[in-house]
Amino acid sequence: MPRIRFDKVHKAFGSNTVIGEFDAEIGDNEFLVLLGPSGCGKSTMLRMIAGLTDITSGELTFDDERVNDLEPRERNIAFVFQSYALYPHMTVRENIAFPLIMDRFKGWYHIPLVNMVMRRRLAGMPEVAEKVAQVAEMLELTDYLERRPKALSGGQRQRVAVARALVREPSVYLLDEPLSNLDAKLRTQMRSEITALYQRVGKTFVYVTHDQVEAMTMATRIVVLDRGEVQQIGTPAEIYERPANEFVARFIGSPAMNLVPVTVQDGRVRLDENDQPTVTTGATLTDGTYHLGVRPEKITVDPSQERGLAAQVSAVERLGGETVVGFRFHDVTQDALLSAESLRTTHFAKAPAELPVSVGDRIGVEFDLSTASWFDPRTGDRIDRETAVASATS
Amino acid sequence: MMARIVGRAFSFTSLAVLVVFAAFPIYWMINTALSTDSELYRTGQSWWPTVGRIADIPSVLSDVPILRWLGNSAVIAFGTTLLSLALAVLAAYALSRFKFYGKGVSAFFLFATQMLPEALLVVPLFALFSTLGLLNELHGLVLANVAFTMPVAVFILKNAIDAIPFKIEESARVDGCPRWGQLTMIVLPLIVPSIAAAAVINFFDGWNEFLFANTFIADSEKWPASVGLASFVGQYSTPLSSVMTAAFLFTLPAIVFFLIVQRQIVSGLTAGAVKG
Amino acid sequence: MVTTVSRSHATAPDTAPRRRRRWRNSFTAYLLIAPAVGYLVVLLLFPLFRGIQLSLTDTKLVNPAGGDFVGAENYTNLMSSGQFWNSLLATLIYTAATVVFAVLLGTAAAVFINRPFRGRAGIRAVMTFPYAMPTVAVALVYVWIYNQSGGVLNNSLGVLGIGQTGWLTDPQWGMFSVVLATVWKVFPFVMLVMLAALQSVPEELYEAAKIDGAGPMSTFRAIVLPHLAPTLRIVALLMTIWSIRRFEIIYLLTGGGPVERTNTLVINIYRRAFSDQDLGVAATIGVLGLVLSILVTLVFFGVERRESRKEAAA
Repeated sequence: MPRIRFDKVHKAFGSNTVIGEFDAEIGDNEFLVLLGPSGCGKSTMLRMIAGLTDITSGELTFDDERVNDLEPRERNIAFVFQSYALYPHMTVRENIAFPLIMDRFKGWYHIPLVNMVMRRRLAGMPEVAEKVAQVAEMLELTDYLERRPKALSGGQRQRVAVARALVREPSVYLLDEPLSNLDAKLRTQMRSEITALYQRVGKTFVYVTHDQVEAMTMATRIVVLDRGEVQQIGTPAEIYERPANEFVARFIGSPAMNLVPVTVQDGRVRLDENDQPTVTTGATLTDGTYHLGVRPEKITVDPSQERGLAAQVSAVERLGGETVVGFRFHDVTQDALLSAESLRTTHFAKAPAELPVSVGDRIGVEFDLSTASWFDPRTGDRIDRETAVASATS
Repeated sequence: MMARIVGRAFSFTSLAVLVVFAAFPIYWMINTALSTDSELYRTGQSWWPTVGRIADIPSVLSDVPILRWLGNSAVIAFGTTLLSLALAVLAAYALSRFKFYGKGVSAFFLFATQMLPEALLVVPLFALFSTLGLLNELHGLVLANVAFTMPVAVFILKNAIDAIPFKIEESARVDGCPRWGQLTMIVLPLIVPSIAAAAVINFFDGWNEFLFANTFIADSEKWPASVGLASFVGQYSTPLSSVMTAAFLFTLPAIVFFLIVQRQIVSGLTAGAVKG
Repeated sequence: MVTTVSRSHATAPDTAPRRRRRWRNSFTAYLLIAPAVGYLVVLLLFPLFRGIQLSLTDTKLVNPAGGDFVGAENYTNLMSSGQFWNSLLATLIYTAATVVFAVLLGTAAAVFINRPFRGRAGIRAVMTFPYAMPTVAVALVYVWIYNQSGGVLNNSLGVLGIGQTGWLTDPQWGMFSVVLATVWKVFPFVMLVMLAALQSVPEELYEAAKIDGAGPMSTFRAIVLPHLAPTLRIVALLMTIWSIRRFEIIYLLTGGGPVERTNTLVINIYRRAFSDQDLGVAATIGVLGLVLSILVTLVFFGVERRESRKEAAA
């Protein structure tokens, strides 16, 4: 099981940069998720690990061995495509057996007609047939072995794609948005199946997705990418609790982290959106303007308006188990509700399901500042309190 | 309501006229084949075939060496198809799946061949073939035909390969299948219908070809059916009914095969035309 | 774990293995396409240049390797020969007539056959027979149909009291007869392609037109025709190029007669080369014919570009 290292890996198509310069290391047995919006370069990154896309500059090493110029099959990897890329003209059995047959293929087998004979012979070899049967059993595909991909459901196709990856026992599994073609229910099920598979095979997984729920639930570590640049690398908890910048803050979590423009003066925080009584920061921050980042579940809504800052409810989504309350510090008017401006200045809190609020109500909101993040409004970067202290004293 | 009835009647009549227009000459070929000589040359041809004449068909084979000619046509057509497809598969794969310097020029070159009149090339080709000793040879004819049939096959096959998701080949690549294997084990099985269409189109280009055969083949033993039958045009010493029977035997396979792969032929032709 | 996000993108150095791999990739491509391109170079391009070269000589058929360089003499002679201009005129008439009638008839047939009715598949099959029939067989049948004394055309017209016409021998009718046989042979191609195009007209468009209260004629003009236009242009181009090239059916029906009325450039080439045995002059006509084809194609692509710009602007 190799340690995968990126050393200043850069990718450009012509003059168009897709990946900036990427340095990272993927350890043994990791489940690394590459997360980002579409076009952020995450699939390109995966394809570079696979050897399907050339690396423009920099070095990619597996256990300190440079693999930039190795063919995919020389890297001992398996790749699960978003579209599954099953071979439509082969049965499920033939699809799963294909990598094994290719491993045993000699150059001269490729002569037309000879290849048909040899493929049949190799497929009949006990070691191949048994391995296929075993993997099919594991993924509950035994009943479908003689079917063609066309005759399978989406979830079954997905399993065949995984089986084909599994059968060679590679040391690295690369998965490119493998669940995005499935419906919501199946996606949840396959998510836990893939996690179970990861725990069972104990190999390195690199998984590309734009779905933060998949990332949070499956990853041991997440790389957040945007426009070819790494935004943050960390465990799901780190990324959730301590986002490195506003992009990560907004990308992770549903609803996303609230970013509230504030001014800090003499250790007290004042909202920029309207004049409210100030509160202490509970931290040492230099005077200036900040974006205060608070997770929705770290906001307490008080319908009695006794505590917290005064706000007005602009949206209520009752999800059954909980209620998402949208509120604004500005007055809520019908016209303002539809404007883009109002969306930007609407904040969200997670409240208990039975909370008695409705649109237009005046409420009090309380932020838990001890877990809050602070961002520089110009760069969008996170300001750690320690750094803030340091810069304040220097 | 009235307008709709008139409209229906109009399209029905038009369609009927078109069908008669399209079918009559073929009907007339069959009718002539099944007419007696006295009808044809003296009393005037009946509108209906003399069905009893079907029994005389074997005697046609002694009037006209049609079986030998059809055999020559088949040799030429098979040769043309095989060589044409072998070249076209490789070229289509390269044009569809590779980036290389000169790709645009190659594609244009292939299309440009559609503009070249065979009649212009027949003169220099005649000179070339006479130096190479390819005149009067069936395989020489195959070589000449392929120059015109292969580009058509390239278009059809390139479009077919373009339609296969590239990810399937990448998947094979990850599974350890080299380029050549991707072509033979993945791409080719997936474009079988288009290969069949291209094969039929090429086969009948070879089967029907007349100009080169007429120019290059002097020996009547080696004539394909097109040249053999053409020798009867405007010549009445052979019974016309026999000539028409031979013409019918020459036409029949073309029509049958055409019907079988009609759908693919149309999509192949349209694709080739649109992509041109 | 190290994380540095650098924003400097130095231009990628072209490493040796990468260059080698890219070269290997192109090399494979060249290897794949070389047989086809090489083949065409030997059997089309080389003969084409040989043809251009021949057009500058006085080479005769009896000695294809000999012949002296005569410069542009063949060209100047042709330009001043009425026979050549007559041949060009025949080509233009033949091409224009076949293209117009084949496209009209083919499109009409496609429109009639597009709507579903019982037996449609059979009717469509019958209508494609002419396209599948070998040209030599077509010629044999049409020569007999056109036959002056026993042909069905004259026999039928005779019943109506119309005199006996020499369809293939009367200079007034020669071109008509050849065009008719050609249109019969090629209109199914137009029909099949237009049928495919018609079936790609989205159903919603018809429904929208119906809701807007459009009649069948205005629906056709406003909805169907614009959708068909690009296909129609391509079909017209192909038909034109093929008509300029077409040899067999004219050669077999009239051989260029009567009185050279159907002596198109292509027929002219063949007769000059193999009857007059004058390869130099034949090649000259061929080169001029090719120029004509290229001009037509260029005009077509000019129109196509203007249209697509119009569409982009709209």
